[in-house]
Amino acid sequence: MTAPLPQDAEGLRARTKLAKKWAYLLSSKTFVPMANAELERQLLGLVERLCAAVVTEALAQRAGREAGDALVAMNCTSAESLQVSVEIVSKGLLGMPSLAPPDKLRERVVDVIASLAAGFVDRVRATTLAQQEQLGRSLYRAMRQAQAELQVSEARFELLEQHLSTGIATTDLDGVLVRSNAALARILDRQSAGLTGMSLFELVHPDERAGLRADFAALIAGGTASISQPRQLLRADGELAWVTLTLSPLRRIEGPPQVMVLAEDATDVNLLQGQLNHQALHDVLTRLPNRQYFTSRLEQALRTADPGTGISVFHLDLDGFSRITGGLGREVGDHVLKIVAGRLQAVVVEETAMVARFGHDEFAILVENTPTTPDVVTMIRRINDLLSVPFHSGGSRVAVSATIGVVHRPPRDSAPSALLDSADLTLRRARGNGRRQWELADRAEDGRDRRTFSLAATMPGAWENGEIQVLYRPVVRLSDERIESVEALLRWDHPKLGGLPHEQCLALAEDTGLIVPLGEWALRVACDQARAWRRELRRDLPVRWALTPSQAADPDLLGVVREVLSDTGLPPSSLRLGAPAQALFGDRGEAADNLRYLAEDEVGVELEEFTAAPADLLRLLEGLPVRAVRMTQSPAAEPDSAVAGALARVLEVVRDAGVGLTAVGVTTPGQARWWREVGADTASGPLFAPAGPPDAINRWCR
Amino acid sequence: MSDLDWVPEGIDITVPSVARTYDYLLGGAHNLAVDRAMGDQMLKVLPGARDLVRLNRSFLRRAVTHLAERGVRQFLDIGSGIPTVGNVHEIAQEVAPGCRVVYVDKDPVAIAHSRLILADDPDTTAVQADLREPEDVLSRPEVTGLLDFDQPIALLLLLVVHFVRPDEEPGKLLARYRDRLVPGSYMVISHATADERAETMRRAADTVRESKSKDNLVYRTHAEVTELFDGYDLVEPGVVGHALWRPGGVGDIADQAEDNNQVWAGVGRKPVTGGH
Repeated sequence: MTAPLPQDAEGLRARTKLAKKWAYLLSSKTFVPMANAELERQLLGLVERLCAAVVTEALAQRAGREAGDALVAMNCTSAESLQVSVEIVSKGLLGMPSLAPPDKLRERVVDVIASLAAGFVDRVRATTLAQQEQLGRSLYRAMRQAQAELQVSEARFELLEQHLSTGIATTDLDGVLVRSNAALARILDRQSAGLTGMSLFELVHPDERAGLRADFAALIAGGTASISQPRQLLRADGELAWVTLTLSPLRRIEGPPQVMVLAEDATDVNLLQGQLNHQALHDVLTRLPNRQYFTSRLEQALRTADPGTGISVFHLDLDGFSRITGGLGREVGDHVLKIVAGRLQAVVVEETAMVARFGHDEFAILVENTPTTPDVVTMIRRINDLLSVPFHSGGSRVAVSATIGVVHRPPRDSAPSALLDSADLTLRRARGNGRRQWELADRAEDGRDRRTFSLAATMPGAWENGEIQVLYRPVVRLSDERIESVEALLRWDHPKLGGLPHEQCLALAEDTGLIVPLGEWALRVACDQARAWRRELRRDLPVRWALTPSQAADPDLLGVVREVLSDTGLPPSSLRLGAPAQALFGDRGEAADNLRYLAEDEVGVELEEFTAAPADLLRLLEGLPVRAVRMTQSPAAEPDSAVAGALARVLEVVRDAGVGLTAVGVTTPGQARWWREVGADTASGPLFAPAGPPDAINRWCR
Repeated sequence: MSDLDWVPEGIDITVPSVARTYDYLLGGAHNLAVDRAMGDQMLKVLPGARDLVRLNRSFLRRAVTHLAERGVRQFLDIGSGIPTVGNVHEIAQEVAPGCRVVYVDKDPVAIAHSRLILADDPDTTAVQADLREPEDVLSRPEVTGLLDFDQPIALLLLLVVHFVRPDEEPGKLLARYRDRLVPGSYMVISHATADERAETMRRAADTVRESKSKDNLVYRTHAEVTELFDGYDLVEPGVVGHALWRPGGVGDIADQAEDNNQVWAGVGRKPVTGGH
């Protein structure tokens, strides 16, 4: 039945041209989900079918409908698509005279186009209905999902409503209660059922009704999500209930909006509850959080702390606290604990931290580290520096120190209880080393810290093994370069690192707190040696020891010195103790007091690291009991320099005050001459002799 | 105080939905009167709106074809909207059967609809989630179950990043996706701009704002859109008007020159070495 299409090249060219033009017009009007070439190919197929339908009358209806249907399938669904299709295809077909006899062509083309339009409309209608149907189903599904979620949240709300101690009510826009919970009835001392139908305005204190009306008006006007105000409600028993009333608009699917009312009881029941909570979580004496509170905060901090900096836990035990309570009484003890609590809080005032009291004389500090948090060593030093400042209590002078276990940057997944155990164990380890010690739990992760810590941590063992010794260096009179006295210095003969010099030994010992026993030991060794020299050389060769800042402020210093002197039989005047100017000139009373008492005992007190700054000079003239000041040879103060000239004039003040002057670190004869000229009495340094064993001093003196 | 506030956004049939309005402009019937009203209003302000969505849809087709031809087999289409014609999985699977596609949209109706359509295709799925919550999107079982994050993934963000406000920091937001993609992955963005026709586009944005939709248009400049590709190497020809990204034929370009440049489009590839 189908007549073949004319196979001439001209006919094919005409059909291809028509398909291309059609593709262009369609794709510039509507989104066709295919590449241009594919669209042209498909449209050429339609054109061929339509041409065939013009040739063969019986095909007209079917081919036309198929073409209309195909257009919609290509997403050409708009009226515009139909319009351009009808226009271009009609004109194109009419322009192909070879398709049908001239008297039949118009009629056949109209038939085909009419069918195309009908097919298009049918398919558009079907597609639209199908899509609307799909949309309806999608909406329904999404709605059902939302309803399921809503039901869950409603169930949750009802549960809360029943069990919360907060009063909850729903009112209409006039304030009439539609629904309320048991807690509200309790707050108002009324029956729950009786509340429905009452107006919130009747229930509020008459003085506050106008304010409440204004709140309602503001809510209804919109623009505010909720309003909270302290209000007084009228109880059935005639009392007032103090509440925080929160109003929030409640929009509904049907019916006018309502107002949600929350009444939080602020009366004494709540206050008492709050107090009980506070007591359950706080230490009554110091008002610090207790162990329980600390533990829960610790748990939270482990989770939330910045993993880059982590947290640190310090577990402190006061040294010799039982001696304070035993000797001075419980009241003094309680006072000390309160002071300690306040001072510990002051140490971490700039940090995100919690200070807690764990028990008798145990405290703990949790620090959530930040990049600006001081390192552990600094923190420990601050803690003990602040604790060691003496204070008056019950007529006595008291100062305390603490031994500290530190857990630094524990892993995030640590259990709080295990972490506290670790801190406790570390504390006990530290306590084994004596008072004012500290130890770090060895799970610390920071490599640099670990190296410093491990060097410091092995120091007590090294000391025990005899790796640390006391060396002596002559101090000579500048007038005749004869030995005047001897300085005692430390050296650690480390098996791997070699000889660690005095300064490094002191820094490590000071950091770990080992300085207290180590310094005491060095003092004792030096005094023993001085006593020996007295016997062997038959002359007085005073020995000097430079106190570190914490030694100078150690409340036990005076006792220790007296004990050493009495044990060794060395006259006090043969001992010279250097005190760091920094410690003496600071606001801290302890070091100055210590040195004043020592001077009264006739121990020679000397000022270390004197800078000759105007403030130092002034204080010196105010009568510090020092026999001499010690200045270090400074590169800036080479003889002939401007600094040296200025210094020379300043040092006259020192001499005029009757205070001696000693130079430290003198390396050249020129320097020695200069110091002599500015009035220095004695000097030490490489120019004269290095530090060495006691024998070297014996040789010097012969 | 008479709004249906409890109804999630997208189900409230009194509020137009961006996804359904887009469908309307594209010639679909998955839309409601309120969406068509918004679409008609948009057409009044911006007569080329139909062309814009058409050109954008063409860009999507070209980009997905391009990526599938380069071996990408996994697609994460966020802001996928109502699936109508020329969907990502159809385009990709035409190039390579077995391509896996996850559609993500925050519009619950669009997702319900996607699930309806995709029910029989095991290589596709649809998730209701928000572009602004990368960790949520990337941890959904539907996503982790279908996509292998050890293999390259194409992240498709068509006409969606312009709903992210500057204070929501789109750069940082996209970085959170980028960091989860292996090198060799791609990101495709198309983004409305007001670099030209500023006044017209301002009115278009007002139209969206004045509708009750919670989505507001934030136009970005060519430089800002280029910046969104931080950590990616741009595929030639870089960030260009959406019609001008490797056009394949007459239908890919509009008669109105401005329409061709009203949306910036680009494809970036996460480099194998270096980069972020």
